[in-house]
Amino acid sequence: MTRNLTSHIVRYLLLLALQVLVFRDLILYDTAFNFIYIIGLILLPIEIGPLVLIAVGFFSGLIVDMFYNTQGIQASAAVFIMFIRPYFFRFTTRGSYDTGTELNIREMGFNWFLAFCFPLIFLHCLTVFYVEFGSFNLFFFTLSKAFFSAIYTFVTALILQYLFTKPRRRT
Amino acid sequence: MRQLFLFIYTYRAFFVFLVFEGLSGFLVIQNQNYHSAAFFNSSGAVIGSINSSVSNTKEYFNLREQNEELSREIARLNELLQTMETTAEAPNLPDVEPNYDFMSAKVVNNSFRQLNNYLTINKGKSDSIEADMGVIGPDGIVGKVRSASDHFAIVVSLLHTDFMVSSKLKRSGDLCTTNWDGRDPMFSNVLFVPKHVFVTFGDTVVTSGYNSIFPEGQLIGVVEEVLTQPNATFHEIRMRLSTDFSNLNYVSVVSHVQAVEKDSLEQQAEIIN
Repeated sequence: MTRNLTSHIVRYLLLLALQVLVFRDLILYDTAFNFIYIIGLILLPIEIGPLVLIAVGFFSGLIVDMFYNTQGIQASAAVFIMFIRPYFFRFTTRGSYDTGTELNIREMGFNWFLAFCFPLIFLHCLTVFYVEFGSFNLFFFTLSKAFFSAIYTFVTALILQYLFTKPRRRT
Repeated sequence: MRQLFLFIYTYRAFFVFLVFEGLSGFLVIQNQNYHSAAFFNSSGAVIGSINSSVSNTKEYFNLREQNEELSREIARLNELLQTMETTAEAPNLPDVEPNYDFMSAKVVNNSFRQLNNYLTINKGKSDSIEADMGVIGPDGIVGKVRSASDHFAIVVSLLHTDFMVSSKLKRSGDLCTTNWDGRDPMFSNVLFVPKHVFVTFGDTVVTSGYNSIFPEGQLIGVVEEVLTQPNATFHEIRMRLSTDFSNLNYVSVVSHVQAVEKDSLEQQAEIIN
């Protein structure tokens, strides 16, 4: 467990650094933004209590905000994601999971990864862009921005997952 | 009472969520008004120096563009020098005090694809940079300083949906306002041009010089498209911005020498507030 925790913290910090140093500038066609750091938040161990999750979400959102000069926008979206994550996790696994399960694509399978991560990423993007815009004018413009950003972030997460997780040992 | 505590304890996640969401909501609203300084931005010492080292690394990749930009700037200045020399020979020109100070700065962080964009430059309070100074790039205006820390300053980009620039049409001198609509970083809107004014493709839009942020006649952009609705009061004008925000390395910060005097006079006369 301690080894797992260290690797989780390292992954979280690496993703945060990647976000503010590299992915900040990788924007596709002026519409698709990459918020890869939130994968680090979404895949934190399930044993972590909700209060810690929300606090971690808030502060990592705030750090990203400082680099983006969008004070509070990422933080509000990340807090929201971290709040609904436990409920959503129970919903997607229907209560059948072992404590101590690693949350990654090899352990849980592609279908679960898609069903769990994509809606959370999409909600995050929706919150970010609608809070940033401050109104529902240009509704479809903002919606398309959120949708393509979510796809872009999800595909990046998939690539990173397949590259950096070990294949499951067959028993 | 025990019931109450038990209730709060059961729903503690929700209450903590509310507290943090409220806090970030407060930060968002506090940041809406771009006149007030933000608490958390990239002008801080740690984030500023991280940004500088990132931009130092990136600098090597676009040295060619920077060279081209500089040689264009030199050509423009040479041309200006020649016209100055020819006009200086004309007799009886009054001595004009230079009204604006220029200071060069390097862009260390730049965003142009968000809804409200900011730049960070590597000059701050210690180089006597203050809020509300204008920022001009090699091809036209860029923005105005929002807040400054000791060694960095945050600039509100022209690509900020709340930032309005007092401008005028160069050909006819009619006043108008430049305001970005948040869509395309290459284009901006020109507002409040009355319908009786003739505007056409290719008209140049420059700063008016009516506020003390930008000197008069700085390039903003060129009119790309004019739409005139039959029952509207103003033209709908779309303008191609002259500044390429995706490739911005060095800018100059301008400060009006007598800005305080001019503004306080106008405030005294209750023209502006």
